[in-house]
Amino acid sequence: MYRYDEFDAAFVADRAAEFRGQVARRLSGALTEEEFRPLRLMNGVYLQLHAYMLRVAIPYGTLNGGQMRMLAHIAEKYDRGYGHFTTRQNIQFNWPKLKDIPDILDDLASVEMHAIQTSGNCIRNTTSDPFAGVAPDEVEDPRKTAELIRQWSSLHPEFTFLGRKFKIAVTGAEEDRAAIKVHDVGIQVLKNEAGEPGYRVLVGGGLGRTPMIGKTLRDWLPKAELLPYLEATMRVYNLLGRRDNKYKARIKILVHETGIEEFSRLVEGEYARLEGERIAPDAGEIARIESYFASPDWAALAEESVLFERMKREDAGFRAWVDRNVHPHRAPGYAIATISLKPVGGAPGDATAEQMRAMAEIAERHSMDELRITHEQNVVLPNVRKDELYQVWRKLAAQGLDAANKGLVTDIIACPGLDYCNLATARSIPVAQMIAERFADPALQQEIGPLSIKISGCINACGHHHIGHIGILGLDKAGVESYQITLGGDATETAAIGERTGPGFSFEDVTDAIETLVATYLDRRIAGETFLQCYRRLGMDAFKETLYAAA
Amino acid sequence: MAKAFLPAVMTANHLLDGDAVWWTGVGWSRDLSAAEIAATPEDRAALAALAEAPVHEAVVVGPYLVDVTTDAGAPFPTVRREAIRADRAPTFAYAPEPQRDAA
Repeated sequence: MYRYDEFDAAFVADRAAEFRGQVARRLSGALTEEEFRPLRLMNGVYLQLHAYMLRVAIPYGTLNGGQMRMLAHIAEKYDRGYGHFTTRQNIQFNWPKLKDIPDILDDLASVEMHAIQTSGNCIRNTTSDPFAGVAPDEVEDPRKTAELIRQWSSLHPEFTFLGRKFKIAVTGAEEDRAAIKVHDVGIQVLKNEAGEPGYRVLVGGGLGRTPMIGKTLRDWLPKAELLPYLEATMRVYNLLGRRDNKYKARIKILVHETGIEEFSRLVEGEYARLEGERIAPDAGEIARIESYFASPDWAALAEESVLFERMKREDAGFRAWVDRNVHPHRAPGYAIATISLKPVGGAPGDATAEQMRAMAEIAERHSMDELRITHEQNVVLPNVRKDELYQVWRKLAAQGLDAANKGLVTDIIACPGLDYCNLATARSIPVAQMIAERFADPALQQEIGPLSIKISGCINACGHHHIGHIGILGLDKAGVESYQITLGGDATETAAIGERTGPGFSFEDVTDAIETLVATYLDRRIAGETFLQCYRRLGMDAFKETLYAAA
Repeated sequence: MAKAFLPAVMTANHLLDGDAVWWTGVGWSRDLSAAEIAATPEDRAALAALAEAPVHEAVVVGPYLVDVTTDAGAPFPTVRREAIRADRAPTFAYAPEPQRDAA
C-alpha cells in the first residue's frame, strides 16, 4: 500500500489545521455561508436534508485495517454508529456536527486519510479495480497509475477550478471491474507487441443527466507519457469546456459536441506544444511510487486446499458463499473474497462501526492487512488463504456480513436518495429494500443468476442506474414519486446505456414491475443465458409487452 | 388558474449540527409543530422577506419557506421531502438501534 512521505503527511495535517480555522471563523460570524460553502466543499463537507455529510476519500478504494478501525471510531464517536460506502469507493458519514469535523479530519490524518478531492470542481478521487494487484487477468496493478494521478492532480493549480467535477478510473485488466467507459477519462493498462506496458485512453464517458460511453482518445500511449498527455487533455477541456451551464460543463458534452476526431486533434496539438519532460515525473519517483504496490509476500502454497474443499462439501451455506463471493487469485492457494454489504433488509453500502472493526480484524489476520471498497458498494478481502476461507466466512457470518449474493438480484446499488440527500427527487434505499425482500429466497436468486439492479433517486445518477442491467430512476411527478425503468445497461468492457421501457411506476408498483421483468426473462431465456444476454437477444419489445400488459 | 394559497412555515438547517429547524416566531426549534404558521398571503410575504434577511446567518444555513397544510391545527408539509425532514430521520431503520435517535 502507498504510505505517506513527509510531504504528504505535512500537507494533510496543514489542510486539517486550515479547515479548523475556517470553521472557527464561520462559527464566529467572520465568514458568511456564501464564503464558507466552497471551503467546506473542498474538504468533503456537504449539507444534506437532516445534517452535514462528510465524504472521506479512500484512494482507489484501498485501505488497511488501521484505517478501517479509524472509520469505525469516527462512526461511533462523532456519528450514529455507522457509515455508508459509496459508488465512488469512498465512505460517507451522515450525521457529523460541523464543530466536530476539524477533530475528525485530525483523526483521519493520523492514519493517512483525508476528505480532499471528494467534492467540488476538481479531479476527484481516482477509482480503480477492487481486485487490483491480485486478479489473475491483470497486466499491471492499476493502482500504480491511480496513485501517480492522485499525486499529480492533488491541488494542481490549473485544475482546482475546473468547469465541473472530473472523474478518472483505471483498470489493469481486460475485464473491466472499474467501469472506465463511464468516466470523464478511462484508462486501461495494456501491453504492446514488444511487451511494454502502456495505456489505452478513453474520454467523454459519464452518467448523470446525459449518459455517454467513453470514446477512444488514444489506442496506445507509452507509459512515461501519461501525465503530460493527461495534462494536455485537461487543458483542452479547461479552455473549451462550457462554464455557462453546469449541466453542459462535463467533458463528455465537449467531446460529444466537438466530435472525437476534432477533440483528439486539439489534444494532440496541445500535447505537441507543452513541455512534456517538465510534467512527467522522473524514473526514480515512478519507481518509488511503484515500489509501494509490489506484490505482498504471499506464502508458497499449493493451489488446492484440502480443508477448503472439505468444508465446501460439508457446509452448503459456505459453498453458496464461495460460489458467489469468492474469486480466483493470481497466487496459488489464495483467493479474493467479497464481503457483501447487501443483506436483505439492510441499506446498500451501510456498515456499522462493529462491522467495520470486524472487517479490520479479519483483514489484519487473514488478508495481509488490506481491504478494498468496490464501486458496487461492497468490500473486498484481497489476500485470503484458501485454508482460512472457512474461518473468515464464519467470522463474517457472526457479523451479518455473509450474504452470498455478489452479482445477484439482491446485490443492489442505490444512492442515499430522498431519505438523506438534498438533490434527490425520490427515495431509493427503500425501493432497494422492497426488491431485495421480494427476491430474498436464495434459491430464487441462484435461479435468476447474474443481474445488476441499480437505483438512483434523481437524474444525477449516483446510483449508476444507466448501467444497471435493470436501472431504476426515481423522479418527482407533481409531488409523487415515479420510477422510470431502463433495461440493458452494462458497466463492464461491453458497456452500454440502458434503454427506457416507457412510463414510470409508483413507489408501490415498482417492485411488481421488476418481478414482471424477471419473470419474463425466466420464461423466455434459453439455456445458460443471463438476463443481459436474454435482453440483448430479445430486445425491448418482449419485456415491454409483459411489463405494460395490465395497463 | 391561480395557484391556491397555502400556509407556510420557515425552515433551515442549524449551523452547528446541520439539524433541520423551524422558525417559531422568536427562535428556531427542532420540532415542526412549534413552527410559526404564516396563514395569510400577507404573513407569508413577511415570512419570505424574513427568510431573505441576513439576520439568521449566525445561527442557521439557507432559510426557505415550506408549504404546509394545517388540518387539526398542526403544520404538515405538502411534499415528501419536507415530511422526511420533519421526521428528522430516513424512512427506514437506518442505524444501530441505540444510536438511531441520538440527537
